[in-house]
Amino acid sequence: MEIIDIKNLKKSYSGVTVLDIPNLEFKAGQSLGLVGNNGAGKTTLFRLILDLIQADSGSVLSKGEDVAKSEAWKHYTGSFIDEGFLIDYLTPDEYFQFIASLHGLTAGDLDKVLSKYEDFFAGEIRGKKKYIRDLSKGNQKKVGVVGALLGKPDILILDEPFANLDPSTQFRLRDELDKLNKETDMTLLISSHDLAHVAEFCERIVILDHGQIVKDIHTNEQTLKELEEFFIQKIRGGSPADTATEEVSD
Amino acid sequence: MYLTLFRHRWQKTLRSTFFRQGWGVKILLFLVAVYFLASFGFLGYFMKEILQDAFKDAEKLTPIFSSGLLFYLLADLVMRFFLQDLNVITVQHYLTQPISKKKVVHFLLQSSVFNFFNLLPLLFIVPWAIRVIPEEYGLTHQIVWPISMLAVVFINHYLAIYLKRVLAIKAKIFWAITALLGALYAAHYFELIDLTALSKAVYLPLAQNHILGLWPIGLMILVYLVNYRFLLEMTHLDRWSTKAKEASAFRFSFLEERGPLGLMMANELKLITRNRRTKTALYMSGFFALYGLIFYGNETYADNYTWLMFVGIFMTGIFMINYGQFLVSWESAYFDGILTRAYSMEEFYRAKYYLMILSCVVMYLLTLPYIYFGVHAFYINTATFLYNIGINTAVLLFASTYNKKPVDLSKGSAFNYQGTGAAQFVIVIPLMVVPLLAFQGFKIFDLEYYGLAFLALLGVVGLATHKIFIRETIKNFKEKKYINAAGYRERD
Repeated sequence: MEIIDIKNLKKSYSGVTVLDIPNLEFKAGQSLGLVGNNGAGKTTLFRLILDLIQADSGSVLSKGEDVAKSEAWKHYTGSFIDEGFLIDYLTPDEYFQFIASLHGLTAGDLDKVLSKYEDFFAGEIRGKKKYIRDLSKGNQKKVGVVGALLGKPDILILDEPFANLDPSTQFRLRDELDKLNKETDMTLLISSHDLAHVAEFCERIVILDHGQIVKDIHTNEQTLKELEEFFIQKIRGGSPADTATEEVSD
Repeated sequence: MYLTLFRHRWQKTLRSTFFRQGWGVKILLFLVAVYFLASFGFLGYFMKEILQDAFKDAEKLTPIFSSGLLFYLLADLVMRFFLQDLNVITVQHYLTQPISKKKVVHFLLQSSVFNFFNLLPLLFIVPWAIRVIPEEYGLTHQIVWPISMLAVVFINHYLAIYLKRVLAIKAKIFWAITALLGALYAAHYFELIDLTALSKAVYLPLAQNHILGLWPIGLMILVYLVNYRFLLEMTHLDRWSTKAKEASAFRFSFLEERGPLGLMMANELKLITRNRRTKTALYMSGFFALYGLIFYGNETYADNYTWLMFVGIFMTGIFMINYGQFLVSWESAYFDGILTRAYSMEEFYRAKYYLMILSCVVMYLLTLPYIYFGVHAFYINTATFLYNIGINTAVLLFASTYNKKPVDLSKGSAFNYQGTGAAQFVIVIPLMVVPLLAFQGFKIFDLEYYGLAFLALLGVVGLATHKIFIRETIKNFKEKKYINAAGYRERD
């Protein structure tokens, strides 16, 4: 079953098309990795799925409902795009408590969920008298990612979750996402610049380039190689289609 | 190289967010600046006539001018201390470049003189030098005196910078100086010493004697060098990093336990008490509770109900207005989070609504003692209070959906126009002008008390129907959210 269905989605800024997706469907329970260079349209796509920006045309259907019209998706979608999702003058504990209350979790429920992430936090997040704004970028990201998971969402959307994390935490997060993928029905949408990470646990990988889907791969042993090939090809100016279009920034 | 640094400084000013405001705001701020410059310029130019008038039998005016100078300089020092800042971090991008540290520090110190506090004294010094000094002390003094005076101003400039830095590191020295100034003023007040005489003894010679006129220049260079050596030692960034403050233990837990609405109110209160700009707004509100003293105690205004109404709206609503005109803008940093979470918009706006009412109640209680000036003060404050919580809350809530400029919570609020758009000016019309006009309508027929009752009634009706305007606000919020979100994302 398709949990998210994207149809004829187009977005342009001052005449430059930054995203143009005729058709894209995500299967429920599937993990999807989104890769592409800066300006490829990854964040734009996520923002459209989260109804943060308005599409020029087309629509995103989440469980059959247009995200721009119904707000039902907010209850089953967890997301972390950037620090713009964090209330930075709260302590992490206060922030988690607030998110939990939005999803109707009791203090006991919250504690149970958070205790699962003790290792991930490495003792630097909970019970500390520090505001989120005073945490390092990496620790802020941990707060944001766990915050997105609190409501036990059906869909999890993370933009560059591995950036700014130390190597150990990157592997820990990758294992956690892998576990979520295998043990739950959660649909994962993860964008990353780290090809190895996404190739490791994503069942499907989509490459965006200049706002268009150029590859849609079901992951196998060859995938990492294929991905690397694609991006090396780009800098060597392999395909004429790539050099013709101009770089756009998002 | 040195000139390049100054050019960067100039570009930084020109390209700052201040100049990226819309034209309407720019023109208004320009007019405000012109107004202040003109009024101070006027005061400076006619200082001669003003002093002549006040001291009719004085032979010369410069001694009188000099007697008051010390008071100005002390006040100036305090102002500078609070509003002026100098920090190596602002030039840290030069520290790793092949520019000597000495040069960077000199640049930092020299570029700092271009500020408002150094412009203001010029408006007094220059006219005085042209209009008074030549006739009292001769033409050559016309050149030397203003230069010495400028040095006096710069002594203050560099002294304030140094004191502020010393405070950050050696609190004891700061308190010692504060105690000294306090003791000095107390001694003057109890006539143990005469500060005017002291001021005259120190500053009058600048106009009388060329050689003595040099001491401010010497002292200025000395203060500059002290600053320079101090800053040169401080060019390592870790010397500046202040420890992150411990999170406040005050969590408003009594609200936190009351479900999402309580949590949202608690968040709003944390927003106010944990961020610099909102905190300044909070302190200023306490200060404005005293605003009425000027008017209620004054005979001229005692019967001017229209003016007192304005004072009433202002006093009971000051925090609400200060805070309310940037509603949601305060939350610009995490607006994307608000849009994607399962927030109940109803509770989101109700939290703000109750909080504004709460602030009005507090301000109303603070202004109750004005009843001392007559029972009319009580009536006026009550009517304006009801109007504030009934109508003005609604106006501010609805207007908040037109805010789309981000606000940086970590900056102070004095002289801070970030987030100010046309909406902030237009909003004054329904907030202040409409109630005053409505009241004026009754006043023409000498029905002041009916006018007050009418405003109070409007307030009560507004309170009773608040659900309707919260609903309308939410509707408008949803229509405008893409535009607002895009605006809020334009952070620097």
